[in-house]
Amino acid sequence: MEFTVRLFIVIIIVILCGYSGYAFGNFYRRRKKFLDMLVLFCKFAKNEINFSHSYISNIIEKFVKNNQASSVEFASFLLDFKELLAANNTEFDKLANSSNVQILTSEEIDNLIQFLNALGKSDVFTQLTTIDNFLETFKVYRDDAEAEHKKWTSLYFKLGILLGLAIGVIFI
Amino acid sequence: MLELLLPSELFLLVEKEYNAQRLNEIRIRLNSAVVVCVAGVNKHLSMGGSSIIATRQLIDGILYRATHNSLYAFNEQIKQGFVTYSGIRLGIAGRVIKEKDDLKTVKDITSLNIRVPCVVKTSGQQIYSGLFGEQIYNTLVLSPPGAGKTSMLRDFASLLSRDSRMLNVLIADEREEITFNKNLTNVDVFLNCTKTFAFTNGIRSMRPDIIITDEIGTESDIHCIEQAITCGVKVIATAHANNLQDLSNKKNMKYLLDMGLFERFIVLSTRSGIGTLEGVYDSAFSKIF
Repeated sequence: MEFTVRLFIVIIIVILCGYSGYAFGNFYRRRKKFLDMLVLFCKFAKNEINFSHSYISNIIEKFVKNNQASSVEFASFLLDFKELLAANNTEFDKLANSSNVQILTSEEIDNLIQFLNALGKSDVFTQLTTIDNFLETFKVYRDDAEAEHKKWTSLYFKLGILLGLAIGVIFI
Repeated sequence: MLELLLPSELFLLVEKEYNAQRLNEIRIRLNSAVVVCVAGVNKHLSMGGSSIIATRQLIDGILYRATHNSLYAFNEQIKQGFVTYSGIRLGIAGRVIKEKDDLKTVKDITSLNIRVPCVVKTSGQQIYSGLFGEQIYNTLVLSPPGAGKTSMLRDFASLLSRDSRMLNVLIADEREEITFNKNLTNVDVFLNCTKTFAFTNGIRSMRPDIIITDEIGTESDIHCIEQAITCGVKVIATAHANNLQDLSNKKNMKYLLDMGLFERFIVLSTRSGIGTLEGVYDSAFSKIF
């Protein structure tokens, strides 16, 4: 086989392995984005509840409209929640089985469901206090996810490239 | 709208047994049988011979639906003892939370009184032509609760909005009941605010010729009305009273009557059904018709 053809195949292998590494790391990226959006949503909801007394469904609609691109999973999760509210269905536990939250740990999912259960169930002062309490927890989750993301995402990518190069060297 | 407020099983039962259109009220008290008031008569709501008992889940569910799952957005109404949902007024009772003298909220709600707005055929059109044909008078509509005051006010609001004199009409709709289900045009509306706010800001900024408001009675209401009338704004309002004698026995109302601020009184009752016209009186309590 000609050298240029071999080189081309090696480049393809390196790209494929690099992409596989990226795909493995993507789990941590999606997790981080989801929790980033959750923290942002808490802050957004706090403002909306405090200043404009908007309904929960309107808050979700407005938030999703502006932030859909940041985390499709979080946006879909919120829209599922909104749909349950519209159907007067309070079985929010169902959302724990949604494919959108499978990137979270069971503890994170439990807290998220508890947060949804508390939304809209009290006066402004209590709502703000409740959201603040959840926000503190979610920030910890977000920081952990960020650390994991920094550590693993680039590592998987680098390992992928290295693996690709190793295969390439053997192949050549 | 009742179908969106009640759990579907409950709504279907009410609809099947009593025809939701004839319904006046549904009273839901924690751990007690649900009571429905149909054409002025109270009955237990039952299924298969046994009464429906109200649970915490039922009360909370209705309340969350009424508040669009956003209780905090209705706290000002809750503090006043009601929540309005698409023209349906839910009276509430429960544990009042106070901080010093400041009322914070009402929680652990144990009773709901769902007052269903029904289409009451009032003599609004007839009275309007007879009373307001030449000029608009400061008018007070009187009746006991549930006798058609608000329906008559709605009719007046609707007729005034289409009046050829093109009057500036301001509606101070504290509980969102006057403007419910009426496609009113050419009127200014303050929704879900106190009468004091609506009267003060309305007179200052909207230059109304007429202000329409429901259920006056408190000292601050009387003060608002006095301010409006002395500013040259006409007021059409309602108040709870069986008759003119009852009205003059009320301390705050007595002051209004002594001042001679209202020029016409419309008295309604339920004697021959909701919205029965007992008479229209002038400021000297002489019957006009």
